[in-house]
Amino acid sequence: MKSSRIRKARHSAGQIFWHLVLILVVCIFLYPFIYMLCSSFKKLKDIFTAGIRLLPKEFVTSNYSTVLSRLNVPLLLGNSMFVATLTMLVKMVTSVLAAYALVFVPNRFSGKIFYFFVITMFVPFSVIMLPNYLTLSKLGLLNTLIGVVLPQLADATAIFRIRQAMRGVPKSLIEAARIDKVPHMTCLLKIVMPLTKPSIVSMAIFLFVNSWNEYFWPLLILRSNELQTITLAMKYYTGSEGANGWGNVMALATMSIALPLFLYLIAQRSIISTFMSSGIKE
Amino acid sequence: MSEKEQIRQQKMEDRAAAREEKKIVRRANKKRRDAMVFTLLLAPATVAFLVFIVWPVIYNIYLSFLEWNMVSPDKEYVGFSNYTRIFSDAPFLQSMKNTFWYVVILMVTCFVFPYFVSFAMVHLVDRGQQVYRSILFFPSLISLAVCAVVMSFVFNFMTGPVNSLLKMMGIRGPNWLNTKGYVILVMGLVVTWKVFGYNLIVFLAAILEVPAELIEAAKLEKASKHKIFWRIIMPLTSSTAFYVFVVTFAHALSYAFTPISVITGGGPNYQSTNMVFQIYDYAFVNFQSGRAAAAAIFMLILVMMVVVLYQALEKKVHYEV
Amino acid sequence: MAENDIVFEHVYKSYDGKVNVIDDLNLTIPSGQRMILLGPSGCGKSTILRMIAGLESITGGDLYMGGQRMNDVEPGDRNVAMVFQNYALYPHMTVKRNIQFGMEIAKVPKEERDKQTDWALEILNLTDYKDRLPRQLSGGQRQRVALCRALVKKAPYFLLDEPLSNLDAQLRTAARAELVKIHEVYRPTFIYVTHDQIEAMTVGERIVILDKSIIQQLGSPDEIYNRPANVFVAQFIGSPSMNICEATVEDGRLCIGGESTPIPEKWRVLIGDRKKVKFGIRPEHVEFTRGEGDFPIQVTYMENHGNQLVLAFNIEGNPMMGTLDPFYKVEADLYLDIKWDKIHFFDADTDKNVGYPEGVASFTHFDPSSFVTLQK
Repeated sequence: MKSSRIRKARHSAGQIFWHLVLILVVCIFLYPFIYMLCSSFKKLKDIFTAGIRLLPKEFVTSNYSTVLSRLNVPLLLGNSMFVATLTMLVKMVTSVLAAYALVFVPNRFSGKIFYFFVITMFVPFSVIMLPNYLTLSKLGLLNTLIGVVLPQLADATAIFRIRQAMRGVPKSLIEAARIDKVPHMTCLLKIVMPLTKPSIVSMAIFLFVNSWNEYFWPLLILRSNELQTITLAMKYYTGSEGANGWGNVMALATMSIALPLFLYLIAQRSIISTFMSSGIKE
Repeated sequence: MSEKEQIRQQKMEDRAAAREEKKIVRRANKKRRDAMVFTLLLAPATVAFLVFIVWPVIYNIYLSFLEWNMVSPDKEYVGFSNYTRIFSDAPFLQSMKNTFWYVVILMVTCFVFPYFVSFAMVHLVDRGQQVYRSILFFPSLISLAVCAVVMSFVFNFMTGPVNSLLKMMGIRGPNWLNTKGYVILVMGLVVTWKVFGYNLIVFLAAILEVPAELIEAAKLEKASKHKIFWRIIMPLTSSTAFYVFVVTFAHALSYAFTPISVITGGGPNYQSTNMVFQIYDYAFVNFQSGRAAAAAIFMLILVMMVVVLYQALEKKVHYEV
Repeated sequence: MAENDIVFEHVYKSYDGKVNVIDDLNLTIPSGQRMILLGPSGCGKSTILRMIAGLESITGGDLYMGGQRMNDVEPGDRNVAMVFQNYALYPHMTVKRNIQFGMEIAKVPKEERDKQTDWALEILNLTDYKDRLPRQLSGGQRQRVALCRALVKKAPYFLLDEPLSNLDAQLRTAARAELVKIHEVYRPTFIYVTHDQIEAMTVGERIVILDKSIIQQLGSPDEIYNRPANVFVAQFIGSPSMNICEATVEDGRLCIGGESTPIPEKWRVLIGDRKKVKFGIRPEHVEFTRGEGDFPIQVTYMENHGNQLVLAFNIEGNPMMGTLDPFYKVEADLYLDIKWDKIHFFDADTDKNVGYPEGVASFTHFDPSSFVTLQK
């Protein structure tokens, strides 16, 4: 009963019309991305005079060299990489442990605790930002990369999705192992995780990319130039370059999304299907 | 029975009782061990949430009753005056209006629109679903800051392609980022670019779950696509739609912060700011932690109202297939 | 109503342009009849049904319904009523609205809609359930709602896709009778897909047996049962299935292993020059004699079902089954006694039936559909 794809006879007119509509939507969504990419290879004058033409009159890489000379791009990428990787790892660990416990360790509080986790998803960032900022200040972690990671030790979305994936593992497998006195950690590492690998990997990539793209919290915490993430650098660089720096800004933008784009290309099937699995709400 | 046999009998009974007791103890131990494992496994996440989400909410409530610049040791208790002040503060009031419009725009572009597009992808065309959804989901993984910058160029008054296109059609394009009203539209579009893809696939999943036979039965009754959507798909995906609505609403209140911060700074003249940006402004530009906290609590109440409403109505919309 | 025939002419269907899942189908379904498409899973029967409904496309060939070419006509325009295997009831609508859905689309006025709905509910004994939701109904009730919905359309073509397969065995018997009753209401062309031969034999007036999308035989239940066109049909119909055994023919004698028995003249004509044949005997036509007979047997297994005795035995190593009177005393030294007017012969290579002599396998007087009509 699952698949809802219907075999249609070719009703050319109707089908073609809707395909065109969808292609139009796709074009609108891709346009900014392509504009950015193309502009990064255009001379400044070309950008200003191009109108709606996308392709560069003259293909140049000077924008990139300018950005690379003015900004320490490797440092920016390195900072982003550090924050994103650390955040992803920490969130994955806490989420996997929590999800496993909720699914496979029988306990009468499972439901309530899960409910509590879900509620935290709805707390607006603006409510927690000030107190967390003050906490970090007390800990002396303002203006540090660790400070960016610390308030993000757990992620309710991750727990939700990983729990969902784990529920697909037959409980009987774990019960059989438990009867043989296999400790829970081993069950988790040797049975559950291999069976939910696709979801775990795609969740990890998703968390990584989200952290890479994060803006608000790093904006509050990171002050010095050496600690900027590349996403944050977008704002500062755009501000400092002004109108003469459009090409450069586009080059920086392209560089900043290179890694997320790459990750998306290799994992998109998996990521999309993790978010499409049934049971959107519990 | 001889005495010897009696003793043997007694010994056997003792041993059986001992075995029973051992079993009970083992079961209790297992329960205790399970409870310990449970606690250990959930501790990291729970502690993280308590320390960085629950406690901050409480502390924020506390802050909202103080007047404090976050540095000095004096914290003055001022009762509800923070709350009354923000509601008479012109920028904040404007930001409330703007936030309202952001929500409206996002509800149209990130709720109505993806609902329809996902329906089209499943039932109005017969192929290409995977391709379309991959492409449309891609922007959701791009940083909002990058998107904001790019869009600010695309909508640039003089040199942006949008106005160039309009010029070609004989229309004089407005100064998007500097005109009241239009600026909110552009900011809204930036956020749409990011949120649309995610909502799209959530709707897709729900629509794909409607059994094909139901649609076929309707087709045999000569139901138009229009009727199929309204009479069958909508009722049967309403629980998901409801969820998307609530989540999008919660996000719509705050997502615009990033493009505002990156491009307009709230301008022109507070015409693009939203409540979150004002909170940021109160706290980190003006160091008025009390007002920031009060405004934040106001936002919290708004979100919680919607969540509570969702809980209450959720039961009514769920149809078992 | 002959103008409502359904005709397939050289129809073929392919999903990928390479393999034809339906190949050169030529079939005429006369109007007003209960026609069964019977066969094992994957034989293409559902595909054929859905082609009639317009839910599957036709790659090549022509489909005519009521004289008009229907290949490109939308399902909604074909005036077809269909009952799906899983009933396809709209879970968010009451029974009444489910039934009326089609009429609402067609903008039939409310009074008329209600009248038709009540009429259909009455026929299927569901009047009390008018305002229930599908999830409040049992499987059998849901199936009847699906039937109501199809019934009110009063369409000339009534398609059923394994409508009883999700019901309990007990319900099925009553449901079968109900289906025939519905057909009697206005005599549409019933096209009924199933893999259950009992349904086919009891509900059907004509049966098409399919295997791997190829029509094996088209005939009345009686023809199918008593004159199967080939080994496949012979073994598909009848439970337990017909015993098929390979044998050789030498000097006008039927030989299995070391034993043989003379073949009567009437059969020798039909068997012709064949050196090898397959013959079939239905378990209920198996008869034994003691002491001497055509072929000695070894009994391997016995089951007493209360109403019959099921016997598994071997003839020279060939396994066979027989069903006998429950009180039959099985003793040693039994012989199979071949009843020459209850035997079927098939070509050993093509599996096709060689035919029947005059007077053999003549039609019985038992007509299943008439039996059900009397029950009304």
